[in-house]
Amino acid sequence: MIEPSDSPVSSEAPNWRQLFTLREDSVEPSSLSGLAFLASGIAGRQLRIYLLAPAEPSYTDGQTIFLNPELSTTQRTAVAAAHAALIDAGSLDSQCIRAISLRPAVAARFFSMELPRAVRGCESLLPQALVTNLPLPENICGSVEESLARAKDHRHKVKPTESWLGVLRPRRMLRGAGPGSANAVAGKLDSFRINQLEEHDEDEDLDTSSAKVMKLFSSPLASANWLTDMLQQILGMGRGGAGEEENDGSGGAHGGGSAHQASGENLEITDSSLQMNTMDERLPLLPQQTDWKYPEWHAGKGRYLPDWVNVNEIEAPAEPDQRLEPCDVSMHTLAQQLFKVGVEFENHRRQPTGDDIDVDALVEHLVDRATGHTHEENIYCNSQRTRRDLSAAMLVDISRSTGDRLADGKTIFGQQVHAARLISRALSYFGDRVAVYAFHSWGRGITRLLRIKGFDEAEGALIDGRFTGLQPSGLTRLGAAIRHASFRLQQEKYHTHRLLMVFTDGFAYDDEYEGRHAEADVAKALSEARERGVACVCISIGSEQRDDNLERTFGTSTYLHCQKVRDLPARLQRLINTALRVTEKTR
Amino acid sequence: MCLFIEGASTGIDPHSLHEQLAGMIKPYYMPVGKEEAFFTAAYKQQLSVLLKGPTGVGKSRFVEHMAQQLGRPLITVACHEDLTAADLVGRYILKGNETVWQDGPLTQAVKQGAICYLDEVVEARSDTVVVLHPLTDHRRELNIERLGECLKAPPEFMVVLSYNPGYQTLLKDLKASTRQRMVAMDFDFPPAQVEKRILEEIYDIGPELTDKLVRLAAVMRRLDAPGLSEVASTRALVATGKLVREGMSPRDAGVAAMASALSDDTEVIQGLTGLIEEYLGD
Repeated sequence: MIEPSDSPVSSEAPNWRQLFTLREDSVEPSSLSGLAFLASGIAGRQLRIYLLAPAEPSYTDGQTIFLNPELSTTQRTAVAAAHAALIDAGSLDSQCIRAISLRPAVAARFFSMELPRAVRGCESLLPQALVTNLPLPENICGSVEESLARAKDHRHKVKPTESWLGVLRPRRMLRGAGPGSANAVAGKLDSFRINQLEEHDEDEDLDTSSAKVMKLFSSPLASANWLTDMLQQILGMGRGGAGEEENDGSGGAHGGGSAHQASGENLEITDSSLQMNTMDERLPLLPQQTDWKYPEWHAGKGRYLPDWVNVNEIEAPAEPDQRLEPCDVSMHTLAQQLFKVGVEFENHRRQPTGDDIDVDALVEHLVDRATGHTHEENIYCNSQRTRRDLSAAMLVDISRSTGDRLADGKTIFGQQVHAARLISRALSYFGDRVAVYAFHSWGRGITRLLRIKGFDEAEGALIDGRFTGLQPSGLTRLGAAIRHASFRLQQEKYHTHRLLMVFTDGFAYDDEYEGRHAEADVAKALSEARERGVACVCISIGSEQRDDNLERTFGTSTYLHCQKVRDLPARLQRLINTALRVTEKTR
Repeated sequence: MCLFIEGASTGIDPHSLHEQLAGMIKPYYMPVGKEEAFFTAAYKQQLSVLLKGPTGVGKSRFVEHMAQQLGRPLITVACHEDLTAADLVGRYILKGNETVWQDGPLTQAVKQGAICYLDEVVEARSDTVVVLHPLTDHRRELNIERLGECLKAPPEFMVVLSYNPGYQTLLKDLKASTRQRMVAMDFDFPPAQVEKRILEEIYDIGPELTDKLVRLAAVMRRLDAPGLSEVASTRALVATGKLVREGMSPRDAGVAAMASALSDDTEVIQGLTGLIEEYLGD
C-alpha cells in the first residue's frame, strides 16, 4: 500500500503572482514528461500532465491529468496511470459522464468502482510494482454499465477509493472532451491560461476550493513579459469568447458565463483589457519588438494608402501536448505529390546511360581498364529534374470564422492547420526551405502573424507544439498578411522558386476592409508578390462551394477548393506547378 | 552495393553448401500464428512471398528460419536506392585484359534453387525490381540480356520480398504490377506472451526483467508522440536485455536501446526516458 508522503512541494498558500511563475524548482521536468508519455501510452492518445495547487485533489478532463503536487513520486505515477486507464477503459465517455454529471455522490461511487475496473483492464501495460501497490478491491464490475447501475443504486455498498487517488469531475470532463473546446476558452495565446486561473469551479459540489492551475512547461513567451502575454491573451479571448460559451452551453452542464467569472486582481485586468479591445488607438501600445507598416490599395482613389496597416510578427506559443484535429490524409500521399514540385534540372555525372560522355569518367575508365582495375562503365552525363529548388511559405487564416463546425463535426480551422502541417513536414523532409505563419487581424491597427515555423527552424516537437497551440480568433486582413509573407519570402535568396500558399475559408473581412475594397487590395498584393517572383496559390478546405471572390482574385488555376483534405493531394501538384510557371513567365 | 550472401557465393558447389547448412546452428524463430504453414504452402506452390511489417519484428529471422526448415540456401540482398538490375543479375567485369561474366545474387539463386530474399525492397528503384517480374509469374525465368540467355528457375527457387509499410517508405511504394505477383504476409509485434517467451527462452533474459520490458514495450507501442516514428521493437527489447547482461543497469540499457536510439528530439527523448524510468527504474 502506498502511504501519502511528505509533500515534495512547499505548501504555502499561493499568492496571485506566484501563479504566473513556473515552479520549475519544485518538480523535475523529466519525471513529468515521462508521466505524460506513460499516461499517453496507457490511454492510447496524447495526454498532458499538470500540477495543481497544493490541497487540490487530482482529476482528469480527458485531455489533461491534473495532479496534486503533494503526492509522492510513486503516487503520482499511480494516479497518472489510473486516470489514463479510466480514459482507455471508456469510463469517461460522454454518455456515462452526462448520466452522473449532476449527481456528485453518484459520481464519487462511480469513480470508486470504475477505477479498479479500468486498472485491471490494462494491467498488462502497467509497471508491475504499481499494480501490486494499488489498493484495489476484490470484486470488480464487469462493464461500465454495471458500474453505472450500481453507482446509482444507493442500497449497494461501495467502498470509496483512497482520497489520494483523486476524484472524478464530470463537468470538467464534458467540457474537455470535444475537439476544439480544449480547456474552454478560445483565443488563448500562451500557455499559462489566465482563464483557467480565473475559472469558477463548477464542480464545487465535489470540492470547494477553486482550481488554480500551474502550467509546468514554460513557453517562450511566458518568460519574456507576462504583462504583454496577458494582454495578448485577452485580446484573443475578446473575439473568441462568444463561440466558446455556446460550446459550453451545449455541454448542458452550466451557464455559459460562469467560465469567465473572475475574482480579485484578475477581474480588473480583464475589464481594462476589454476596454482596450474596443479602442483601436490603444492597441499599438502593446510592446511588440517587430512591427511593420504596410500600405493598402484603395481602388476608389486609385492609389495606395501609405503605412496603413500595422503588422506584427510573433512566435507562436507552443502547446506541445495538444493534438491536432484528425484529418483523412497522410503525409505520405501529400509528399508523393510534392516530390515533383519546384524541382530543377541537375547534371548527374558518371551515369550508366545519358546524353553526353563524361570525359573525366571516360579517361579514368580507359586508364583503369589499361591497368585492369575496373568494371564500371558509368561514363555518361545525364540531366534529370532532381534538384530541389523551392522556398515555400504558408499563410494560414485563423480568424474566428474558421472555427465553424462542418457537417462532420470537424472545423475548417482544424483541417487547414492540419493540411499546412503535413505540407510543411513533407517539404522539409525534401530539404526545401519552409515557413508557416498563421494570421488574424483586429482592424488596421493590428494584423498579427504568428510564426509557427521560421525558414531557419527545423521540424520537430516544438514546431508540432506550435501547430497544436493555435486557436481561431479575430478577423482576416488578407492583403497585409500576403504582403508580409511575401516580404519574408523575398528575403530568401537561396532558391529560384518561391511559393506562397494561403489557406483561408472565405474572403477577406476586417474593420473597414470588405467587399470591393478588400478584393482590390488582395489582388494588388498578389500582383506585387508575383512581380517579385513569388508564386501564390490559395487553398480553401471544408466549405461547401467555391468562393467566387477568392477565385476571381487568385485566378482560377491557382485557387483550389476541396471539401475534404483527402481531395488535396491529387490536385496539389498541378496547382503549384501552374502557379510557379505563371510567375516564371511574369518575371 | 551491400550484399549479404549466406550459404552461397561464387565458386562453391551448392551441394557442399547443403551439408554446411545442416551443420549450422539453427536460427531460432518462435511462430506466432500460422506463418510457417503459409510459407511452406507458398514454397510448394512456387509462389513469391511479400513480408510486410515494422522493423525489428522478426521478418528476416523468419526467412532464415524457413530456409533452414525447407533445407534451401538463402541469398539475402539488402536493397538500397542505387541497386541496379545489373547488381541483381550480374555483369561483365574486366580481369586483366579479358572480360569475365560475374553472376549477381539473383542469378546465383536461380542457378542454385535457393531462396532469394530482397530485404527492404521498396528502397530499390522500381525499374530494378522489374527484373523479378518474369521470375515471379508463370514463366519463372530470368532473362540475362547481356548474355542473351534465359535461365529457367528450378521448382525450389523462391523469391521473398520484405518491406516496412510505415514511415520511412514515404515516397516509395511497390509497383502494382510487382505487388500482384506476390502473396503477402503481415507481421506485427508478437503478442505479450510470445514476446516474453522469445526474450526468456531464446535470449535467456531473466523473467523479472522480461516482464518489465514487455509491459514497457506495450505502452510505448501505443504512444503517438510527435517526433517519434519508430517504437520499441522486439529487437530493441533484446538489445536492452543484452546490455543488462553485461552489467548495465536496466534503466541505462533501456534509455540507450529504446529512447536515444529512436529519436533525436530532446523533448521526446526526455519523455521516453521518464517513461522507461517508470518501468525499469529501481
